[in-house]
Amino acid sequence: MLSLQPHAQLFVETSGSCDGLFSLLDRAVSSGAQSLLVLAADANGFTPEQLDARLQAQPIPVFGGIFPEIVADGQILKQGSLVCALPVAAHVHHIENLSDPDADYFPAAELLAVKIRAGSTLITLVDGLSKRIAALLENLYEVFGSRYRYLGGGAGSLSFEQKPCLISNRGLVMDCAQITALPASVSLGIDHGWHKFAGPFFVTGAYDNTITTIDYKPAFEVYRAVVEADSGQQFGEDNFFDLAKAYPFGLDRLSGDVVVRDPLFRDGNKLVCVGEVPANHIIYILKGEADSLLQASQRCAQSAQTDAPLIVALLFDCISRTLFLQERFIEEVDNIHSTLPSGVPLAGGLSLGEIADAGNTCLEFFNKTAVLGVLTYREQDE
Amino acid sequence: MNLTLELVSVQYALALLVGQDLDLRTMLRKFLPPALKLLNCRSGYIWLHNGKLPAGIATAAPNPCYSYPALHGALGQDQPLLAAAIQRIATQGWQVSKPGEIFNLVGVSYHFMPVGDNALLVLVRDPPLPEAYLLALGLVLKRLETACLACQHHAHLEEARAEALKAKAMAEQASKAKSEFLAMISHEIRTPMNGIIGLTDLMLYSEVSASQREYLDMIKSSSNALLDIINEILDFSRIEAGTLALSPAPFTLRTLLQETLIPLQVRAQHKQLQFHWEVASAIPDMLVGDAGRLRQVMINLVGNAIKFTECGDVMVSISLQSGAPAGQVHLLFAVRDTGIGIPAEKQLSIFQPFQQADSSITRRYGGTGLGLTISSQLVGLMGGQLQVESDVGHGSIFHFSIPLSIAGHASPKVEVPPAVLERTQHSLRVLLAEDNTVNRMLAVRLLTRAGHQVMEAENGRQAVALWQSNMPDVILMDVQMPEMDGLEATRLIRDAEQRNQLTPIPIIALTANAMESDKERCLAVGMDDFLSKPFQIQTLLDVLQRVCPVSMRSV
Repeated sequence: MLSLQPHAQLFVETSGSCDGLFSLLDRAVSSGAQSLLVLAADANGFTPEQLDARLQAQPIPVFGGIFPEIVADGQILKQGSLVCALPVAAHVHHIENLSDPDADYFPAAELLAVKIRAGSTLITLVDGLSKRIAALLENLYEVFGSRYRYLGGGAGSLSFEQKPCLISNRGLVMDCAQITALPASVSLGIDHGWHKFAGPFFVTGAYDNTITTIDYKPAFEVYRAVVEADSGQQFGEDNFFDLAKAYPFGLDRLSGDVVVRDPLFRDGNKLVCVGEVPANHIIYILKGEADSLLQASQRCAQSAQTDAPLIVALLFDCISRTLFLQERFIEEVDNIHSTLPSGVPLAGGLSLGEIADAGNTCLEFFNKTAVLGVLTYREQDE
Repeated sequence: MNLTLELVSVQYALALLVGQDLDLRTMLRKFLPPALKLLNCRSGYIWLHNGKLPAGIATAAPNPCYSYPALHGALGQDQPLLAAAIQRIATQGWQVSKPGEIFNLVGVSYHFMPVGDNALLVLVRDPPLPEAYLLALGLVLKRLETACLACQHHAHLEEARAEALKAKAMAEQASKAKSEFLAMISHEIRTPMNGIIGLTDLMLYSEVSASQREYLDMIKSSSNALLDIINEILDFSRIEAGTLALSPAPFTLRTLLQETLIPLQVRAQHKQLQFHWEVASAIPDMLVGDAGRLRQVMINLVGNAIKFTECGDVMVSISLQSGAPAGQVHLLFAVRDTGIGIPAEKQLSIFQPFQQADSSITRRYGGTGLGLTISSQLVGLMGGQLQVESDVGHGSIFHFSIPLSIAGHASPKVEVPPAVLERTQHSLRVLLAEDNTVNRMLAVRLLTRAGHQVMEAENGRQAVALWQSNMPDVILMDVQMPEMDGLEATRLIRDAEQRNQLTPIPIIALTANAMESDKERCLAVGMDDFLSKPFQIQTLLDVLQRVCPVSMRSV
């Protein structure tokens, strides 16, 4: 009875205008969707004043975010919007104050647990420039545990200016997490292709998403020595990310694994990353080659393959992989898109950090990683 | 990274995660989730069992004291396989072989690791941890055990502290209630006492037979004794409430002693006791201090000495001590007797309230048992410490040393010797507001006898009306009255005076409430003076004289 279980439908426009977006929303609603995933490019320049009233008037649940770039099937859009008309209902929730140094997100997560059915997939989008994303995920996993699946990423702008970037029926909001429960299963692929290059180093000073000292020396000095020596280039006034995008940090995990942390910019001698870096941990400076990254995207696509009836494939792929791979990034998208059965739409955001549950560890916030989630109908829903 | 470095780095990071808080759950929350991430584990559970068999172990597995992620319901519902394993281990006295045992529960590796002798940690991880890691973790877990025990200990201390604070708050509340009760009771007793003493005074001024005069004198002395007891209780309640404050002023030391000790000398003579006092000649005569309170202490100590001495002598000496800064003297007051003495084990408790050295003392000698407590507190307020040296059967010496300032040129307040009740040369029109019929009658009689004219009001409202219509020279205003109290009436009169630009009339408060706060309330609403009932007629006349100079009088 697979014919009764349609795929999601993708509606795309490239003008980047508000009217263009709302025209897509109208069409998606008319198509009979039960909920709408909206992904918009940062270059559209959307503001709450432009969107809020019309988002609040939407008749069905809307969720999503603004990302530096978006992916619609095989296309990478620097401007424009996509609306994914989902054939399943969504329940959209928010947890606020994602940069509050004193916030404990456990009580808020506990409140959500009462409202969300076990076994749901939680599409977890965060303001990627918030300071306490890892703390939120820690509390989220503490409450929801392995009875739920997780998939998502960090929305926001490559200008690194924190601004409203999460879209829902509430409007356009910032510094919060958006947790959307979907009655669907998800098959995940997570991979990055970066490898240890220099280290180990001890993170001797860090708070939130900022590293202050490495091996008791100013963090930037240690980082700069390694990166400048390897790249043959020098850090100047405004080229930090141009160089840093090729040399992320890796938080050491037992048995050789690393969780990548992307240094976004420097604040004096401190390094500000996407996601928290815990103090007293061992880190490495990582390096990658285009080929190793592209191979990772292939592995990612293969791991996500499933025989279950498909709804849509959602890709959260780090924007810094685009910046690193440049014109070859289209190969990464192809690697992923080509593995999907025909007719299954691929919607993606090129994100500031990625969220997924690898299945054998606790929930983590990834950077510079490709996360593919293939949403499928649950067995009991078939 | 080579194995050695990896082991060291894991130990280093984990060791620094241990013990970040003294609250057990917070401490474990700061330890377990990052530790699980570092070790690539899926979940972790910790039981703090203290080596004890949990209650109900036969029917259900105990829930962990912390788990990451949190359990969904009881362990048996959320993790039935783990629950069964824990039930078995707990029943065997929580024995797990070191460095840990790994069980495969339906394809997943569960690491059961002892946390010292007091806790158990279960880590869920695939693939299982190699033994070298289990051994490396063991050292960290030993420290985790200490941190857990410290948290438990802290919680017990906090609990005890909270209970102590609660008990303290309850005791303070009870003490406050007691002070309020004492203040209230003193008011209730002072009102009829005012009537008894006043009417006795009145009758003593009239023509009575010798035997009637004797009875009246006895009534008066009994009433005064009762009043002394009430005053002691009041002083004690003030000390308890922390509201007793000294009023230092210049005074003449030798005159004070003379006035204080002569009546006591009479008492000593009645008991055939020798009574002497001496003041070192080097002590300046003009000092600054609370003469009234110093007198009270001396009366108490000398009174006790006389009371507890059956034969021999009572000696008071005041000597100068060295070491006082310029402008001050340190005086040592000592009261020695040859009385019954106090056993050594009782010498500390006699300064505690309601304590006498022996309960038989109370029966034999009477007294509230508050006198020494009050004296001790008063000496403390004056900057000294009341102490006792005593031998049973040979007598006692009570002594204290206090600093007093030497008075400059200011002359001490001259005590006006009590005068006989004489008709005044300058009659006043007195408005008396008093709801108690007996007290009102008494005051009217006394004032009339003294040559004043009296208008009577039964409450504040009547007082205001009479003031408006008669414009008297002075108002004697009871504070507690029905319909409108004295405070409200004073407020209305002062407002009206201000509106009509009238000269303010002197208003004297009459109240049985002898607390300092009552006096402040009276003065705050604009009263000029304060007379605490029961009052001596002469005191009333003196106050009238003070607040109504001759020039103000209408007649």
